[in-house]
Amino acid sequence: MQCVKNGHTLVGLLNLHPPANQPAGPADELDSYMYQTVGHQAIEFYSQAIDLPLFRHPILGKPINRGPDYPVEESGDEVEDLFIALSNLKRKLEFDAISVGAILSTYQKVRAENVCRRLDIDLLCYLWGRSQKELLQEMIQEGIHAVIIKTASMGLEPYKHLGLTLQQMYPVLVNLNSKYGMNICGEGGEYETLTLDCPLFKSRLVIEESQIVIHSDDAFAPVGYLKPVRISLEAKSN
Amino acid sequence: MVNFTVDEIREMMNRKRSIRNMSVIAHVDHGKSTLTDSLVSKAGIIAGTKAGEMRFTDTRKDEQERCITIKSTAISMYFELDEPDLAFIKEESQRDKDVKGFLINLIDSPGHVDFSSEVTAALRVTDGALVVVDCVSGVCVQTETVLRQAIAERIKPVLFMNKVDLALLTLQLDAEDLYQKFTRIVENVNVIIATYADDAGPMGDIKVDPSKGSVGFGSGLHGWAFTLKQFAEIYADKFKTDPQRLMTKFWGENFYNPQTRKWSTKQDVGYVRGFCNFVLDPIYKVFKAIMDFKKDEISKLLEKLNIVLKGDDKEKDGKNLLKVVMRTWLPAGDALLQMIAIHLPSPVTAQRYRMEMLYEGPHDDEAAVAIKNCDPNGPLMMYISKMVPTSDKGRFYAFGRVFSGIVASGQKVRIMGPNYIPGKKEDLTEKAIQRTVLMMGRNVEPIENVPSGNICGLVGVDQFLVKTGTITTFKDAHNLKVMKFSVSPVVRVAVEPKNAADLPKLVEGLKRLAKSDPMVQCIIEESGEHIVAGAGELHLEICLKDLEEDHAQIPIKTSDPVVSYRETVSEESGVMCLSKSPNKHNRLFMKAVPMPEGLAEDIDKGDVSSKDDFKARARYLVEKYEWDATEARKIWSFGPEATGPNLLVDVTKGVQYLNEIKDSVVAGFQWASKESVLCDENMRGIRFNIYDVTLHADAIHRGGGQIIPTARRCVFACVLTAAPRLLEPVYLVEIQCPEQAVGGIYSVLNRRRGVVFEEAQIPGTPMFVVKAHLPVNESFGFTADLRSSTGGQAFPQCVFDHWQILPGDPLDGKSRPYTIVMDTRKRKGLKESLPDLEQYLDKL
Repeated sequence: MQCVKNGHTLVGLLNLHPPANQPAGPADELDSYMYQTVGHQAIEFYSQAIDLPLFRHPILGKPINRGPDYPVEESGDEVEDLFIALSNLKRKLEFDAISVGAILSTYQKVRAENVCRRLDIDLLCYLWGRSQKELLQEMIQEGIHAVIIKTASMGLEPYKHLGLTLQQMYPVLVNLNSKYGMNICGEGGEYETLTLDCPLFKSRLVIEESQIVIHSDDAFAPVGYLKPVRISLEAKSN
Repeated sequence: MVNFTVDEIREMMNRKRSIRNMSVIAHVDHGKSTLTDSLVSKAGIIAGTKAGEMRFTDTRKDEQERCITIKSTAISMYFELDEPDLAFIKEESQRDKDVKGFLINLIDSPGHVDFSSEVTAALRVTDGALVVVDCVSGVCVQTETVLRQAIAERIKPVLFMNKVDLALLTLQLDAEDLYQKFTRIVENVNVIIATYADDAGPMGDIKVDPSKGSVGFGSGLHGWAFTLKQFAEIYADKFKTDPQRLMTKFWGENFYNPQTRKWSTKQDVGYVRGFCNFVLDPIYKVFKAIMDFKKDEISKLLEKLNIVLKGDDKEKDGKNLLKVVMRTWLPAGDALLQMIAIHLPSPVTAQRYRMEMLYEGPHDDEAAVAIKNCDPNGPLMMYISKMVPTSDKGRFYAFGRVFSGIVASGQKVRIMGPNYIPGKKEDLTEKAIQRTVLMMGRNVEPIENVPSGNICGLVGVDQFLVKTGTITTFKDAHNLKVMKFSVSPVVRVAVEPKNAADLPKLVEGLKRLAKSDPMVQCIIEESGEHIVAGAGELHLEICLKDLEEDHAQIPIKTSDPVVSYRETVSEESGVMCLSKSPNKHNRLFMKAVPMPEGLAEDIDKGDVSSKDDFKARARYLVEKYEWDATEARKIWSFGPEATGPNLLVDVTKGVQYLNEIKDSVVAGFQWASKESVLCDENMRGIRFNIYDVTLHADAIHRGGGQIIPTARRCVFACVLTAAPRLLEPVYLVEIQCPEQAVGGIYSVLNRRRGVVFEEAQIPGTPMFVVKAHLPVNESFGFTADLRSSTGGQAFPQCVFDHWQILPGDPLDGKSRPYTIVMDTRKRKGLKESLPDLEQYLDKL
């Protein structure tokens, strides 16, 4: 939405997803340092919802270089998956920039910058440095309809909070921020969301059926996620 | 008639050098309140004939009925000393030059150990203590406890040997034996003083010494008392010498030959000990003459002693006559007053060395300087040590001591609770004081304002403080230190209203109860149960009675008492415990290890504390406990409450960003050590070592929400893998009884897992003292059981002594600790199964 506001034109969507060729089927949560993987089942609906081509690439690498910087390419690192995916995309689609949603995560920004430099494209980072509290409020006000699909922080409980909207969660998140210094926008991995609707969407996603999966049953901050089982699209009236 | 007015008292309050703030402290039943009557009667507040019977400072009905003091009671009194007595006061800071009078603010405190917290609160606001010892029983366990506390608070003691009448009439000791008895008590008291005080310390030599007049002898019940000063003055003319020189002859190895009129330091033939010849002999003569009904001798003696009997007194004989004669000859009030005025410090003297013990802030800020100088023109600094119920139900006087400045009705002040941190707003209220009042035993007198060095009550402060706090006008003031109690609330019961509809009244009543007692804790468990925790069975009994009759005024159901436990470990963790943060990007590696024996106690006592200089603390740990010198300097935290007897130690080597997560790890440790893994009890005696940490490179991925739960889980995993154990509280029991009852005591103790470690006859009496350790859990009904097994001849005093491992593995379903863990979990509304290690420990 920020890109559009600033005069950019969206030309395509890129997603990195958990590899499908696992013995027990695709894993939902890779505990990646770079990418959200829970909710990957919903991605295929985005193309139609926003009416743009969708390109997907499996995450084959692992977080190998976990230092603050990412100076040179690290073969086998999950960051290289992004590089490969974008290199492939360049052959199929014309584009000169990608957009990322980093606010405070230098780790992720540094890595995206590295990839862009190597591909000679621009990195758009419109949310960088924003106040998380204001930003979340703004997203809610501007009509982003997103639900919590993973919790991983003290104070967030899978059976209580999964499936709630950002609007419903706002007071909880602000409270946890004052109590434990939690990142209101969840950028420290505290929670993940799935956007079901926003002003750019032409039709909205509906989760018809889902199940809660406990990822690790810790005593004080159990980690759980919402696995969408059946999703449908619903046309928007105007 | 009261021989002073409130206006006179107010005038005296400005004479800070002529003020004495003092507590009366002793073992239970050694006669504090009875003795206090002597002073109260000298002040004219009660009639002389009533003194010793009325126990004026026992203001509660149950205190009068049970003949036991439960609450400490304050009273302000005005006295004058005669010119020759004033000469004994040499230091300038001990007397305002132009006045003869003294303002004595006295606090009578309970002697029963269960009410020790009242003693602590009394000591905090006073500068001197009158230590009363029953000369028949001698120094008892509670004498030591209160004396130790007094010294720790830098309170100067004087000693009074009470019940001398009993020693004479019942034990029929001869003079030399009685002298020996007295010396033993003086020695015992001085041994305790020497153990806990340093002669080179800021108070100087505070040992008590009869030859200096800081030891009194007498009978509170009969209203007579003396120090060697009184007798030295009687003989001073005859010997044509200074009374002060004579006093030294009247004690110790000084013998007098009445024939040759010579003194010697050896007891040769014809020589009698000075004390026996000049002090005890006349007293023995009076006793003998009166108790043997020898009329002629009596009148001769009375003439010699200048005693004229009036009215009814002439008709009296036997014990009643003895009382009148002794009281007229050696009035207790005079001797006590002299001891207090001459030997106890004024606020000016005391605050000079007490400030550094009292004030948490820098010792050179405005408040510290004002306290040190007891300066009424400085900023107000007042410590509230307890809450005293008013006649208005649910409201309290905040009772305390003004250390500097002036507190006045209508004055706007900062009310700071114990959790106030300078510069922050928590636990801080700014309000005007409604009224200031003078506490006069059972009455209060309104007073416009009270300057530094005095004790008073405040109206309108109670709702802003839980139990204690600091009142100040200085914006940058730090707190006055929180009091350290010698007992802890180890016995608890659950309470509920008989009629469920009364619950709101119970809740309100519990709040009031918590305020009214310095020690009691009122807690709500997760199960919704209301818990009242006290220092012992008697303390709880009184609290529950007050709750039912005064605070809640509803019928209450009470559960059987249960004790608090502690959780500890008996070995080092068998594995390196790893816990990952919820986002899986941070890892903690830790182990638990039992602390060396004695360290937890050192932390309890404050010998090792979070506030120490870390280098000095490290040196102590290296020397005493053979800690590694580097590790000893890297203690991250004490817990729970940042002061408790568990330690979190950083033993990592070269970990990046470690300091950034320190606060979160400490928070997790505080939480875990307060509510431990087995059954939510406090931890005790565990050291947690952090071996390694791997962290996400980016700060936002390692915030509190990620690290706090991880640290807490890791600490729990450490405990579960280190052979966890339960600790139970153990009393030291001291039982006095005649020889034939000793057998009964043993059988009762055996039934209750008690272990006798000392049995001895009290020298010069047929009584025995048995000392034993008794688990608190076995102490319910112990007193009653003991009385019935010994025909009512044995009386125990139970003092909390230490924590002891309850044998057995709580993780073993058949053990006793397991049963206790499960019962406790059930009571607290926790899941009724053992905690699952899987929930705390992660795999690589």
